[in-house]
Amino acid sequence: MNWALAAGSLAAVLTLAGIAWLLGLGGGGIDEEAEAMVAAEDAVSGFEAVSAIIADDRRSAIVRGRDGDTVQLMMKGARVVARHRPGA
Amino acid sequence: MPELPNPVDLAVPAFVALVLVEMIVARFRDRSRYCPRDTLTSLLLGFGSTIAGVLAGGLVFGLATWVHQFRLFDIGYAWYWFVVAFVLDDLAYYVFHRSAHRVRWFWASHVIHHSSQHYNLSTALRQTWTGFFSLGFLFRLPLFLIGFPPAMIFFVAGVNLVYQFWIHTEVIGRMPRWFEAVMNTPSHHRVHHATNARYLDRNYAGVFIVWDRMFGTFEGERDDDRPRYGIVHNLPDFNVLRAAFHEWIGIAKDVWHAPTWRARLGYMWMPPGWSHDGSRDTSETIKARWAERQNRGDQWKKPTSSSSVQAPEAAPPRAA
Repeated sequence: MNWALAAGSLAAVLTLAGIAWLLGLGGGGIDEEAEAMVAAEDAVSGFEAVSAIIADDRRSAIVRGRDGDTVQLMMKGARVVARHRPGA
Repeated sequence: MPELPNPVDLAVPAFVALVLVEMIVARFRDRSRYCPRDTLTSLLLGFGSTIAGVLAGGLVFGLATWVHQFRLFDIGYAWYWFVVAFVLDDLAYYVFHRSAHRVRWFWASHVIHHSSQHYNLSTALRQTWTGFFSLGFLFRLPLFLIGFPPAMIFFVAGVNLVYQFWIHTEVIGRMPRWFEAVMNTPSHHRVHHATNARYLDRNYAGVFIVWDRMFGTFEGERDDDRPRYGIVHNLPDFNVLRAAFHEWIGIAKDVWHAPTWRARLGYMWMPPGWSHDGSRDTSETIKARWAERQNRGDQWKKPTSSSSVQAPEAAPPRAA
């Protein structure tokens, strides 16, 4: 790799990310309790969801599990990340 | 010794063009297939990996040349030796890649490639910065001992890497049956990137999926269990440095707090998720828990979504 290729690659990186933004790619949200429960069970091995509460902006949710534990869901871009909090 | 080009350098314009095409397809089919910040992180990690590769490449080439002097056979540059080298290099890649998922030391470097929750062509470019540090190059040294010239192996390894670019996509459903039987494809590699319990630690192939079929690590993609991408504990943000180094930091913390030397070694060389007190999940415990629940038959849902909460699309079509 020479300097020209390195500079060109970096320019391409920034350009492509800019185009993704201009195209309006991404989005997503948590629409329904059932979706939140599926997402929590998919994300945390062994977790068995019983109920869910979704935030008004649909960007986060809390899912309660059978064992009294909870999974907090947060949108990270267009996808969900989960954090498991064991029950008391 | 002939001057061989770097196939990856030559392919960079095609990489850029194809990512652009896939973005436009996503714009009309499913915007959530791409996320601008995720794309930026992937591409910056790819750029950094290229720089790291240039810095370490000379050392690896020097080591390969040194090992090559102890070769068993004198292998020239006839075209058929390139073919043999390509196949054997792909086998070496399989061994490396399997180790990269089953040994935490190697996983700490490779996890970068799996840390996106998206599966698109920009994910293919999300490559490690710490490959040299992790000693991943050791897996190719036997090829130099056999007698393959270092320049030839570097060339075919580059071709291998270029091949693996196009399989990182959801745009292509399944290829013709004969192709799926022999070659690694988008369908096979989606399974590899999935965190579904059924798919964990499967399909390690680079170019030829036959290695997985031969060594018992093959799993086919199912329309009723669509892949969810990422890692078991997904990263909380798009921070490039966190993506590049988080597992190394995890190893350092675990080794520091480990109660015995046996545990210290375990935190480096046992599979990801291993812990000295069994308090964490490995892929085996996740699979066992999932299988137990499947046997109980108490699932209240049918897993279908590839994006955790997004409405699933129809199954990808089979290519003509």
